[in-house]
Amino acid sequence: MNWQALFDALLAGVALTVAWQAARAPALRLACTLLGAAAVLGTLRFSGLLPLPSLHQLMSMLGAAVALPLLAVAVIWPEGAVAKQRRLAWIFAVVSATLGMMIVVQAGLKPWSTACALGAVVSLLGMGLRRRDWTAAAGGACLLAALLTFAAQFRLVGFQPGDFLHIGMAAGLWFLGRWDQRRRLVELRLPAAA
Amino acid sequence: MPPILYAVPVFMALLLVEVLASRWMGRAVYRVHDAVTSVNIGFISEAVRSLVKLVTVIFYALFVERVGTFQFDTRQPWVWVLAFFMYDFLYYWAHRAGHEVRLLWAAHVVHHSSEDFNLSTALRQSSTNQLFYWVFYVPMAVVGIPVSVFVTVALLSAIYQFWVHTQLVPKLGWVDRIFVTPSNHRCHHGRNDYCIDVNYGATLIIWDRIFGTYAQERDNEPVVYGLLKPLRSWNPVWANLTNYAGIWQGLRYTPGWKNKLMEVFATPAWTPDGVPRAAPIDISRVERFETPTPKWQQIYALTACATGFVLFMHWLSVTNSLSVPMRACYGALIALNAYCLSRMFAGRRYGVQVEALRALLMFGALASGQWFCAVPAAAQIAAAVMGFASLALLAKALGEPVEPLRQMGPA
Repeated sequence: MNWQALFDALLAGVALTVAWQAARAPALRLACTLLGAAAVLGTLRFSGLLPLPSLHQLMSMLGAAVALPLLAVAVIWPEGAVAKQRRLAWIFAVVSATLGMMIVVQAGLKPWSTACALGAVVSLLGMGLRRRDWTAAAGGACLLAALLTFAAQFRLVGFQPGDFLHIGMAAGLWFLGRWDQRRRLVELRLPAAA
Repeated sequence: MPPILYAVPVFMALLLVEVLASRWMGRAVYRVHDAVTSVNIGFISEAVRSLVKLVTVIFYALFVERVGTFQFDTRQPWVWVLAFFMYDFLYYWAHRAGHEVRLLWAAHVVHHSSEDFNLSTALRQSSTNQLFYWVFYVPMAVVGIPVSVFVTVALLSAIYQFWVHTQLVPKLGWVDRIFVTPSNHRCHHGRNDYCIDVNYGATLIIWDRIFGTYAQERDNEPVVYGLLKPLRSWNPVWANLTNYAGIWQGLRYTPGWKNKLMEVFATPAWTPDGVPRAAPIDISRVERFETPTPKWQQIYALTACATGFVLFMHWLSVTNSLSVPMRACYGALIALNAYCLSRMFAGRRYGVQVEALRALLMFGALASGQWFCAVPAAAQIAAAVMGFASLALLAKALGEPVEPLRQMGPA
């Protein structure tokens, strides 16, 4: 097991745990499942157990072009129809995946997925800061840092740019998982307060 | 040679067999206008499909090439078995989405717009399906199922689905619980409460049983075929566009971007807040759409349909040798053929005159050899004879009084 595989496994673990716990937030669950699936494929790839590079790349592209925007929608509009209805979350995912595949895979415009991912995490961070929701803001900041270090191909004592991406994303998703749990707690307390 | 060139004559022959069998059994499962409209919609659908060069297959091939994960040996039987199960599973979800998402329903609705249920209904396919449905088969491409295997499996599935569109085959016992059968599919085409959004499978019905969308045909409640919001038209072009028009109207007049999104992606039953849902229909009082069908019109409709069939087969056989604009013109002519016929069926103003003009121009062009490719002498003579016969029939029709629209009772 090398560092790349280890950090991808860490991301997979965090993403799938958040997905498991987000039972009442279908969009968050779907987004984290997608990111988790990409990370599982990355773990298999970098550990050499089952190297499927093209599938990992495709899932990573979907992670950027579909999962992160869906994650942003789930956090920015937690009471919105897409965030709360599984059916609409799936429709959002299928439509954005179709768009992503047409633009990135067919037309070869790779910056599309980067733009989607950046747009999503910047919106997440902006929303967190504006609403003074520090958990969501920390999640957004971690995700943004992860994407920026990866884009800048940042390296440090043996760690690859991809490692920082995976660590940063794992941290970001962990914060967003906490954010979802806190929201649920508030929701549970609301009827009693009323 | 495209496989459809072999499949279409077989389908038409089976359709004739069903007509004869239903007569022999004393069951009225065919109406001329409905059957001819279904067949014409099928011709238009195939023409469009050929024109846009099988979008599904092209996208699929590109995905296999760019993101296909595994390499498969097509000589291994298990590859075909895997492909069959994957295709059938993904078809289930594509078909289900086709019924549960407005935009996709707009594409699929034409297949359900017939108020009869017979083999001609199987030919009543959408012209716009292929714009959307390729997305659902991307997972097969990502796995790396070769294009040849995908195309073969899809074709076999389509052929299998043809025979389930019949009322003449009764329930089949245990087979009904594993495979898609006529009984299961009758239920799928019904507008009774228990028939709404059920039995989406293509070959295996097990997916419906797993995902909770399975329903059995009821002996005490005969299936009433058609849509909750009936098409009420014989126009094959309108049948393809009617729900898109509805979505467009919704986008224009529904306030708020959320509602506009819902117009496209919600379930077909969705209405904006404050707008009441359509009242449930009383199945026992449903009346099928029908227009007067005098004897001359029945004969004319069948000969025009046969002519359309010959033209369509010819178009399929020469399509690869024609330039794209010529191919499009020929395809448009087939659509025009169907459209003019539908105007006459509906008793529209100048319907007979327009049809006569269409017959005169088309048969005239064929008989004089001015066609998209060389016309043999025998075909020129046949066209001249058909032209005279058609015009004679239509001339007789011009002398008849026009009957008002009427409706038929439940089947």
